[in-house]
Parts: sequence; structure tokens; C-alpha cells
Amino acid sequence: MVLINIDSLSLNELAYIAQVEGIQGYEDMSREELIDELKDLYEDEDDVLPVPSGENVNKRFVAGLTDYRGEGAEVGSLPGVEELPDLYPETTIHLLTKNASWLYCYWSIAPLDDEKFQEAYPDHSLLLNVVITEGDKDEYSYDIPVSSDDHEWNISVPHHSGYCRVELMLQDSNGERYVICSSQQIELMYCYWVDHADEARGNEDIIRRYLSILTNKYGHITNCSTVKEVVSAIKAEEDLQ
Amino acid sequence: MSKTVGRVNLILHAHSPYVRHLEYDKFLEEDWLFESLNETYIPLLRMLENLDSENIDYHLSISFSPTLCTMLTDAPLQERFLNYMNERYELGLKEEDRCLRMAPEFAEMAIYYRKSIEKNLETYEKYNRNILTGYKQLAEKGHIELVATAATNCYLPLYKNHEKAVRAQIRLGIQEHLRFFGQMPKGFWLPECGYYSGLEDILASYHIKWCQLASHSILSAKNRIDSAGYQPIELGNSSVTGFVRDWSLTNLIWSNSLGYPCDQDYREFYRDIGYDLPLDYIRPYIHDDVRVFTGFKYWAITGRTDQKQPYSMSKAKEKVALHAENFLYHLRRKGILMSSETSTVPTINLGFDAELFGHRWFEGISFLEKILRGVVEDNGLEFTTPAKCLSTLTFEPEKAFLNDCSWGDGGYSDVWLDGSNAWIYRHTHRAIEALEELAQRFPDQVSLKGRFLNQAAREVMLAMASDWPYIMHDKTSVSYAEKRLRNHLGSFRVVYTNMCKNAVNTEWLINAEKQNAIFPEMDYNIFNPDR
Repeated sequence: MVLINIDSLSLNELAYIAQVEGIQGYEDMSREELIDELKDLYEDEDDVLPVPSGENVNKRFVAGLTDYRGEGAEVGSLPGVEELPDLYPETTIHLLTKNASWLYCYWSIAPLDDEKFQEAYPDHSLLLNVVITEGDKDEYSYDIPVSSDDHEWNISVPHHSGYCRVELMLQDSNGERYVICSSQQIELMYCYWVDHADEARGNEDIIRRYLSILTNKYGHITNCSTVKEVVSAIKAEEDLQ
Repeated sequence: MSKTVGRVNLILHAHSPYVRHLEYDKFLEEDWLFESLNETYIPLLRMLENLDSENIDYHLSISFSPTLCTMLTDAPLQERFLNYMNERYELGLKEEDRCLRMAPEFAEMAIYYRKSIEKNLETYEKYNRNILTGYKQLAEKGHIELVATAATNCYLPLYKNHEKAVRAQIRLGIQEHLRFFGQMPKGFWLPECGYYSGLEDILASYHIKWCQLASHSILSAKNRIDSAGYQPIELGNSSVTGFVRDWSLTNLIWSNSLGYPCDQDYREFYRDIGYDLPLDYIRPYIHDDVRVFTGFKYWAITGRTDQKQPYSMSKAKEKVALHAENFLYHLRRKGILMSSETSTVPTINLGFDAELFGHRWFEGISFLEKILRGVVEDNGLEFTTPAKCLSTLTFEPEKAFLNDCSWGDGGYSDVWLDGSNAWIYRHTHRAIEALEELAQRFPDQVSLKGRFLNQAAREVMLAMASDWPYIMHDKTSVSYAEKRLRNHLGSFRVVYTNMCKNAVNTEWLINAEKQNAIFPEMDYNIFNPDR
């Protein structure tokens, strides 16, 4: 069976694949009929073209550079190689976009600042304050407690229009909070179709076109969380019909 | 003549990280370049020349990264490549003799390898060891659109908060393109298809007209784009046009389990005499008893088994013809579908790493040749280039406001920012900030100080290469990637600490300039553009 996720595809997706595969009368077929037709088609193809299932011991490497030395093997010393410090003596926080749902931040506190904090607030704790600003609405935030040994964190964020910044904060024994440093603001990933899945109704041709560029001949859709989210949202709309 | 049903942009990206270790007699990772030259860049050039000599009107786009161009034109590396080829030629003669006597089923391939080394050497010398000249001539004839790219193939989205560094990568990439090819590029290959909102404005400020984009960029966009990736799009409010890669069609080729290169009759990449034959026999052609690929491979993929079948050139040739025909069929079918649905001729964009063809996929160059030949048949497909598309555009492209995206697994930055490699950004970002500080404190320096600062800028640019985090993610040559990164950042620190004392370490500078002899026109002031 080639089309691994065939049972999870929507009527629109199945219709598109059937169209691409040249199945006659696909327009009038039900979801079940389309699945049967496609299964038959791909099972026939399996006889000609073996397709791996499970662990693919014969996987081809079509990108990347060859590793001649093997994992962990030593490379001779290169001139100029210097040990990098684990942290830099500066108080700063940086925020990077990892994907549509996750940001990554790293920070450091300069030793002098650290000494000052220890002296002024002996029982303090550290936290990350994640601040989300959404359009014209008020910003909201939430805390992530961190320890003095932590220097990086992955932060989950929602899919919507807006911005995110992260503040590294100190909280003293009375619960008073002070901002140590603040990251630059990062734009969150707002996806039109996640928000407007209802527009898919009546625009099936456009959705088919969108998916046609992302679906291979075996019916697999390219690996992208936003694409999956859009497809799920459109499917949920279809189910409401 | 058939009606045009699809315009196709085939775009290849040729890149290799800057690896040059003259302090060693031989250096393993330099083979990355030599293998790609022998198996991709030279045979690809010869194939394209043959098509030209037959007056076949073909079109494709190629971007050569500045690091690759530097290595291809570097005299010591050219000399080393000749040594590599001469060793291979000697091995070819031995193999021909051995196979004819002891393994006749492999003799055809042994002879083929020896002859192809001869032909490659001939092509190499024809261009005085600089094959870029050949590609430039094909560009002048209108067959190839040469495309610029970032100076060190830097994955730009992870540096978006360091705009000066992004500008430096783009500006230097264009400057190097001009130096190597003598023409201003219209297109810019975004390394790893890495895009972020606002990048188009920086590209536009350097007069770039187009760039390529990841396939899901349209569906995941901030606005609705009805052309769905089948027409060029206007990026934001800029003058830059985006060409969206078609994953469904590239996946027919570029898939590590389902693509054409996985066919059982194609040559097995991993069975190489460098690993299979006795050490005594193979020793002169490997590195200090470390077994490596020699390029002499005699087995077919066969299937999910260790019991491989001998490779048959005739069987593989038949498969190449079948797969090329199948690929053109899928292209045409997609074209017909989209043109009938939208009443416009769709633009289909195919983007690949060049090294896939020939190096990773042995039959890949024959496949490309079939495709480019096939197009001249009257099949309704028009292979073109993005610049040509723009010059004949008859409509206003749709505006697109896109999110961050890339062609990496997951579609975003996960490949270059995961548990194995996230640590590097603390250091590269810090180095960029420190370099910006130096550029502000010591503007327009000349002589030794200027050279010292220029070398610092080279080291930072080399540390920004996407290759190092990719290798760490891929868990391949991790130890080498880490050392390289530490080496560049460590070298930068030498300059920084010395400049803070208003001193120049001359001995170190001379050594560092020799070691990383790249970007001769580097001007560290690009890190202080407001001066």
C-alpha cells in the first residue's frame, strides 16, 4: 500500500489526486469510491515499482555531504582553533523563530550584574515573561520559571497575527518583579487559511490548486505543520456541511 | 505547433562549503569539491555544451555559490584536483586490467570510468582549469541564467535580527557574482529557500528582480493568493518577484525513498571499491588508511538487500529514458490541468541542488539531458528562466505577504535550529555584534588595520555558513563542522581582542589570510553601512 494516509484525506484532496491520476468520472464519486479506486491504482503500481514500507534499509541519500570519518572520529587540529566561552559577559536575551509554533530564546547575565542581583536580592528567582501582542488588542503574557543554570528555552506560541517578545525577569522574595533584559520583538506567523477555512467552501478549485503543488503522486503532502493545520481546518469545515 | 501549456523554470544550486586545508598534504573533506567537480560540474558542463553544439535551444538557471566559485578558481585547489584525477586515472587503468581478468561483469563500467576521467580532464584543461568560463559562455549564448546567492550560503532567517550581516551576505554574494561572471545578476537564490518577511526589501535595494521560494509559502501566507504558486508573485510591497517551487514535481526526483534515483536498476552509491577491495590494493587511493569513496562503483541498487546485482549500463539507460518521459508527462499534465483551470499558462518552478545530478544520482545528468532534449519536441512545454518570464510578463503579479519559510524538513528553521546546533547562534550573533562595533569604532582603516578587520569580516561570514548547522543536524561530519565553526569564531576573537588594544597581530594576519583566501574584495565597512 503506497498511499499511507489515504484514509485521512478529504474529499477535495482525493478528488484532486484522482484527477491527476486520470481516473474517469472522479467528479461524481463518493469519498469511499475514490479511496477504492486509488487503492486499486497504487496496488497495481506496487507490482512494478517496489516501495519500501517500515524501516527503509535502502534509503537513498540525495542531499548532504559525505561523512568519511564516521561519527565521533577526531579531526586533526586546525590552526587558530580556540575554545569558545560557554557564555559571554553581557546581559542580553535573543529570540529566534524556529517554526510556526515555536520560538527559541537564549540569554546570559554578565557576572557583574549577577553579583549585583545577589547582593540586592539574595533570595531572588528568575523567570521568562513571554509577552504576546495581538493587533490592536491588549497584550497578554505568561511566565516560565527558569533556574540560574538555564540559558536557553523553547517557547510555544499561537498561530495568529501579532508579535512576541520575551523578558528575562528577576522576582524578589516579596514577589516584586524587575526586567533584567528584553528581547527584540518577533512577528508571529499568521496564516490566512487557518483563519478563513470557511472560505474553502465554494472555492474548491483554489484549494485543489494549493494542494496540488504540495502533494506527491503517492498522495503524501509535504511535511509542514501549517499545511497540516490548514488541511485539518478545511476538513473540519467540510464535516460541518 | 502545440499551444504552450506550461512554462518551466529549472533552477540548479551549485554549492560546496569553503574547505581548503593547504597545511595538510591531503585533506579528506576537500574530496567534497573534487567528487562534485568530477561527477557533476564538469559532466554537466560537457552535456550542456553538447546540446549547444547540436543547436538545441534549451534554458535553465544555475546559481554558483561564492565559496564554490572561489574554490573552483583557486590555483592550489586546482592543482590538488588534478592530483586527485590523476590518481583516479591510474586506479582506472588498474581496475580495467583487474576487471577484464577477474571480474568481467564489471569491465564495462571500469572502462567507462577510465574514459570519463579522460574526458573530464580534457574539459578541465580546455578551460584552463576554470570551468566557470564554460558556464559563462553558455550564459552569454542565452542558454543559462546565472543566479547570485549569499556569500557563504548563509541561512538568512536566523539572522533577521542582524540586518547588517544579512546585507553583507547579499551584497558580497552579488559582488562576487560580478567578479566571477562579469554581469549583474537579476536573480538571487535564497540558501535553503530561506525567506523571511522583509528580506525582499533588502534584495530590492541591491537591484535583485527575483528569488525562489519554498512550495508551502503560498498556502501558509498571511494573505490569500489565488494563483496558488503557479504564477510569479510580487513579494510584499517590493519590486522583487517570487517563483514558488513545485514540491509535487520535484518530489518525483528528489525523494530519498520514492524518487526516480531510488530505482533498482540505478547505480548503488554506497558500494564502492574504496570500501570493498583489500586495503593493500586500494591504499594509494585513499587517505592514510581511512577508506573513502573512490568513485569506482559496480553495483546496482537492486532492492532492500545486501546481495546487490552488477550494474547494467543498458538497463539503467532504458530507465533514464522511461523516467525522463514520465517526468515530462507529469509536467505536461500539470500544465494542462492548471491552464484549463485558470485560463492562463502556468509557471512551474523546479529547484534542486546541482550535486544531486551526477554525484548523488549517477544517471542524473543523462536524465537532465533527456529532459532538455525532450522539451524541443512539440509537447507544449516551454523551458525558460525566471528573468525571461519577467521580461514577457503580461499581467500584474498577485501581491504576496509571506511568513518565514524554507525547504528544510518541516518547512521552517527546525533543521538549522535544533538541539544539535542551536548553541552556535549565541556565538555567531555575538561575533556579528562585535564586528559591527569594530566597524563603527575603526571606520575606513587602510593598510594593516584594514586587512586585519577585513580578515575578521571573512571569518564571521564563513562562520555564518548554513553548512555547519546542517552537518550537525544531519549527524554526519559533526566533528569537522564544529572545529570549523570554532576556528572561524576563534580567529575573529583574535582580531577583536587585538583591536581593543589598538594592536595588529601581523604574523597571525598573514597566516589567516593564507588559510582563508576568500573574498579578496572584502570591505569590513559593509558592517557599518551608515558611516
